[in-house]
Amino acid sequence: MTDEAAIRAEGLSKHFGDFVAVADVNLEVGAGEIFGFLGPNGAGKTTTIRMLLGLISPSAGRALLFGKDIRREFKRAIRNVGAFVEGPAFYSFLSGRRNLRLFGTLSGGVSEARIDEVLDWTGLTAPADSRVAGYSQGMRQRLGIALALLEAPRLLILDEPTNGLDPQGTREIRELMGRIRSESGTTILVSSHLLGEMERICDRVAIIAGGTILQQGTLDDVIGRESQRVELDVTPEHGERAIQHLRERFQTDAHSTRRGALEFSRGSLDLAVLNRSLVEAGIDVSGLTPRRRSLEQAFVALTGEHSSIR
Amino acid sequence: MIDSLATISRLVQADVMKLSRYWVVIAGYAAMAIVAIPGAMFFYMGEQALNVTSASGYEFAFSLMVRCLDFSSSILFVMLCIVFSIDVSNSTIKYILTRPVTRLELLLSKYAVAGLMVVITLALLWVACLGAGAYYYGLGELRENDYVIFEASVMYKNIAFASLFLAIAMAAQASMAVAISAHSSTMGGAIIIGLILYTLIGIMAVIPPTLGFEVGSGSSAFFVPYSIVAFTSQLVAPMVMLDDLPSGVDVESWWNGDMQRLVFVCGSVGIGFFALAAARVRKRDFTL
Ligand SMILES: Nc1ncnc2c1ncn2[C@@H]1O[C@H](COP(=O)(O)OP(=O)(O)OP(=O)(O)O)[C@@H](O)[C@H]1O
Ligand SMILES: [Mg+2]
Repeated sequence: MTDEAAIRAEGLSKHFGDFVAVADVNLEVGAGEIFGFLGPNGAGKTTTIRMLLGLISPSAGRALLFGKDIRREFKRAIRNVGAFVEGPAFYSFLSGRRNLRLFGTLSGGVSEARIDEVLDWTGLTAPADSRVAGYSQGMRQRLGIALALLEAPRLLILDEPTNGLDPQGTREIRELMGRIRSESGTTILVSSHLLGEMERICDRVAIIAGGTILQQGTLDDVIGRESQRVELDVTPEHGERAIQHLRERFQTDAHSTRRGALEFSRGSLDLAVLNRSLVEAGIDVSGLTPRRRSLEQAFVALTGEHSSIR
Repeated sequence: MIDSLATISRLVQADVMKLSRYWVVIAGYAAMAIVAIPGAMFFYMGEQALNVTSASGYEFAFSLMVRCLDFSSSILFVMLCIVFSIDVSNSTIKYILTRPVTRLELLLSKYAVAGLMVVITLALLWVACLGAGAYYYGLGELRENDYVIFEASVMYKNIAFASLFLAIAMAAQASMAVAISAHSSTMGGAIIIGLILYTLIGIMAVIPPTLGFEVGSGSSAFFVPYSIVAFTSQLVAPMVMLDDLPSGVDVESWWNGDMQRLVFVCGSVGIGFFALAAARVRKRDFTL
């Protein structure tokens, strides 16, 4: 294992005519990381990934995989990469297994045992020998992921791998990514809209919108380390009084979220003092939980409440 | 270099694996065989009805081959239009191009597959035509009554030469088909554009060969007829060379003016289309 970055994008840009799809993207993904690439529809995620893989040529900038320029040393750069870009695509007149075998041929062939293994990981053992034409959307998606894993790559690039998967499938893919990383030190770049999933698995994330990276860093960097919100549960009858009390005594923005449940910004309040004060005022507190912002909240705060496609 | 050859052979292997299971290709070859075999029967029945008989199985086979080449080359052309576009159409090219495979290697592999398909077509047609000749009249040595005109080996040597030149002529058509395929995003589009161009080029053959232009000047000047654009019509030239063989006149030289023209015209067309395809594939953004 080298200490080189698995992915380095330097000033990557892509124009389609006058339209700037990606502008000056700089990314660095360290070896062994799980890196989340997040952004609203049309943000430029897939376009960036295509440039990283050499499927399209950048209008400016360059992409390095394990230190090798994807344009200049294509074969050496791509050799250790498994990719799943913008949905699955297969020969529908061949079986899933035969599709894997066929694509495996291109880099020298893979063993049947390995094919069985990735089919097993993606839950496709049973339909492996039926023609892809008869696969459901989720089954094709799984086959796409199986293909990306086929050659045990050192770098896995997955563009929305869980699109169209059922909740079990989504969880299986998340667990699979974790397992592959911990077992073989595989670096994973994954783009997704499922921020809850991303939050649980990614070491670092980049948020892109309108073709530009808005923020890049560890989850703590992006979301904020501190808990910003506090949730308070009281006996339902005491709800109104609790809000009153918090507003008057502590100058908070307390508001009710549900009957008997309220929420306020934490600021620099001492929660122990606050709790005692509530109890002394005769309010029965059944829960007091500091909450960190979710990745989703951070994402929406960065990219705006409403998405409108450029 | 060795590494590239290995990559190309793996690509060809994968293509053979897939195309041999693709119904369009299977149907294409089946159509060639299906038309050739009853074609031979009808052709024979026609001869019987007119009270003419071929002097030999070879004569029968050669006349049948001329007819079979005509329609088989258009079927082959359509099949070749999908060789590259099948992967663009299916988006599967994104997997191929994210393996250690350069774009030039991919294109060369498609040309190799096209070449293979040309060879299969010729082999299939000769088997059908010579088979029919053998069935109705017998092959073996060419005889006039009891007198042996040519040993069988002479006949097969000439068939081999004809096949070589037929392959060159078909390769030029194949190059055009693959180039069209490499420019297309869908298989249907490739086939439609391919058929339009194929027909247009075929039509050029009706321009009288006396119309054309002079290249160079003085004694080194030579005349280029416009009809040369109809390079697809070169396909008949090698069969014309075989015309007199069954009546006992051996081909004097296979490297005569006609065959030189065939090689020159088809060679330039083939290389030209390859260059067009290579330029496109090298630059193309695959946003699939
Ligand atoms: N070939 C193309 N020609 C013109 N515009 C394109 C092309 N490919 C992408 N774009 C544009 O570039 C922008 C970014 O597209 P991209 O596919 O990278 O978005 P994305 O972040 O992957 O979105 P999604 O979440 O919907 O997959 C979009 O506005 C899209 O319309
Ligand atoms: Mg996308």
